[in-house]
Amino acid sequence: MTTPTDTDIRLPLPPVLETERLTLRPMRLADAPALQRRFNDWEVVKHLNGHVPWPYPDDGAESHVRDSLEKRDRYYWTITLRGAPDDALGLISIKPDAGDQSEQRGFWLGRDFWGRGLMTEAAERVTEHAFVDLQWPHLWLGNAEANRASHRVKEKQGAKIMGRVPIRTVSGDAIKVVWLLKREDWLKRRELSHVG
Amino acid sequence: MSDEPEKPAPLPPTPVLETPRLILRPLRASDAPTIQRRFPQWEVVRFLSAIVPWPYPPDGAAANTAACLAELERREKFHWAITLKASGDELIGVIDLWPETGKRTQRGFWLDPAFWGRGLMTEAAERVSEYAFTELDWTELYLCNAEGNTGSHRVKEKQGARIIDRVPAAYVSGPGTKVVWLLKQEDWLRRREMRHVR
Repeated sequence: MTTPTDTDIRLPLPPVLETERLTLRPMRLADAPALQRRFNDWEVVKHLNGHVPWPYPDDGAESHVRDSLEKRDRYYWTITLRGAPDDALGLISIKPDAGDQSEQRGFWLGRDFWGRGLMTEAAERVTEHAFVDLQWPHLWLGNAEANRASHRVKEKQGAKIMGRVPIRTVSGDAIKVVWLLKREDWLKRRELSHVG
Repeated sequence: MSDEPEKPAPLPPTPVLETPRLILRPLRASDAPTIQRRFPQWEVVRFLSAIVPWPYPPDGAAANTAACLAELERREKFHWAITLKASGDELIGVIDLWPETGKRTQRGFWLDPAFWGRGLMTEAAERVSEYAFTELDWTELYLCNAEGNTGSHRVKEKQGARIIDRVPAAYVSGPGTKVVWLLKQEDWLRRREMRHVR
């Protein structure tokens, strides 16, 4: 059990991941305009971490993509529909366990694409990558308590609630639900759902 | 958000849904003969939209099923065959669900009158609503029925939907009034929770 604290360790670029309806591919600078347009939406950001600047600056997406590609402390995928890999609908990312129960996964999706189970599909595929390819033992996850849709993604994945802690979101003071999704539980669930 | 209208994102494939007495499974081309036998009955069609051809042509079910399967294929709508667990795989009715497109209607259904009066349609509607509200996380469902269609009206009442409008509409039986309902995710979830507590 090592706790990677060395901030100089840069992760490699992630592989392209396919699902039934989606292509998750490494985030790139050219995604910035589409991300800017879809992220600059109160409904999208209101439950996100208070570090997100709001009102969202005009170069918000571009500087976020640029910084993230430089730092490489997370694996970032741009969410696209199969057959339309240039149109960035949102982002999903994971990072190694920092040893402090902070969430290892982040995601958001443009509002026009809600209500179709797309984020669950993306989250399941990225989780498979974490547990099967990267062999991570678990994923710490989190969401603002009021963020029902994000909450449901974790429920559907079989994550367990470990606690509730105060946080600051873009909307102000809030409660964060802390979840743990264990590799063995996720693999078992997947096996069962394939059989049944 | 954007200025240009976006092509809607594809829905997931129509899933198999289970209730105590029913299996809702994706509609198939082979259901057409059963639909042709069960659907063209005056009690079923009289309160349906006037776009339903009447008298029902001999190829009505085949044509309608093909159109529904094309929508399934394009992932625009969910189309379920309603089947009884007790009596195998045969279709006794249909229930459909689709995202709101500005027309204030997102669900359609019909059931062979031989199976009316047992709460089967409410059971199917509740399961489909659960899918919309908990799997897809839809925040509301617009529903409608012809005024006077008491069976369909009661399904919405039992589900906790609220009437939000009444507008003129054309039905197979002639001009009528369309009752427009709204069923909110939060209301539906709260109602379900209260039922589970009891």
